[in-house]
Amino acid sequence: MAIVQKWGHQIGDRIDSPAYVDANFLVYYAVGSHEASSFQIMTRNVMGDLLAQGVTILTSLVTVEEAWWATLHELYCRHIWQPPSPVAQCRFNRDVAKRHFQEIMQHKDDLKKIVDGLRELRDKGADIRFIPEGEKSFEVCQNVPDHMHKYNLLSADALHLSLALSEATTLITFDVDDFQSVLDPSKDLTIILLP
Amino acid sequence: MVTKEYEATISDSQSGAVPIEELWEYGARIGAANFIAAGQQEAAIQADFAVYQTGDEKRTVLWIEVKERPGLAYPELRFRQSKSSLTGGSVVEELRQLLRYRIQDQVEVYPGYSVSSIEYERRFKGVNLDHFRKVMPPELFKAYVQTMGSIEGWGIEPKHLYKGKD
Repeated sequence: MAIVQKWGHQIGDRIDSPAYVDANFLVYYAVGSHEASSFQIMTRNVMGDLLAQGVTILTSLVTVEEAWWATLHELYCRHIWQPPSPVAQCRFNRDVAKRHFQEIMQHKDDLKKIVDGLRELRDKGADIRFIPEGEKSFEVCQNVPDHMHKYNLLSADALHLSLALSEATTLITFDVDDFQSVLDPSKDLTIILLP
Repeated sequence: MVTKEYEATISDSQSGAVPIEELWEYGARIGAANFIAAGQQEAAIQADFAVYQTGDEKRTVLWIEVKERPGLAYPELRFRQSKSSLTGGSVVEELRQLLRYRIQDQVEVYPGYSVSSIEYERRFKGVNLDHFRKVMPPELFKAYVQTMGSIEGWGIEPKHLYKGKD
């Protein structure tokens, strides 16, 4: 029993169920760029294994909100005809989004696809659930400041960790920088880092 | 897929009755691509020209194709040089050839679901579909394929190029 890290994923690698996925996972799965990135390819193969192995996939409203924001940035880049980049992502903020909001929101159906895709997969047999439910929300939230302090995480990352620890056996994330140092022999979680 | 309303919109756009802003969603990304998917080559050409005539050439199928496939014989320069001859000539012929190619250029992902080769690269490149087809229940595999890369990111591809979409 411990929080352990596993780097990368090969097709066919066993993934322990249930698995909590982060926002980048949802975005890399759903958004297709002209040149498929290594992140997108890896995500789609991992999703294939999750589905093929019958792993329960856990997500949360905070994950979906983050995925929507990332997708909004993609739509903005499409609108201004500039490729996404780390610099562009940093510059994309609330004010920029609002300035172009009417044009971007012409593609609101693309935002819907993030959750519609999950529902479609669930309807065809995948076990996909949102967490937490009911009273667990209090426990998850109460643990966040402790995780922030103990693992040196900002609130959003600590919330994801708290959610994963509450119900998942596996956490799948692209946030290597923040999660590679999360180690704890007293808790039980495998963190799959997709570099 | 191809509606009378859309055809009317093209007609209105050519007469200037529809503002450019309203044409955006009826442009190549939806309009001409729909005709391509339906195999209606001439209608696709008309739709692309309707967009072209608004001055928003970047939304035409031809422009997108030039940007995405610079090696093909549709260089941007020739497209620009031909701009004055909107009603005929080499641009129409190039577009006709291009659309003929696009209509034929389909990759079957599973029976009844095909996408253009460009879209296939965008959504399925590097994904071991053969493996997952064998290990997933058929209906789940179909959902997996249909939801993967379903949002167009940077490097856009005209929408609705699916042929025989479920």
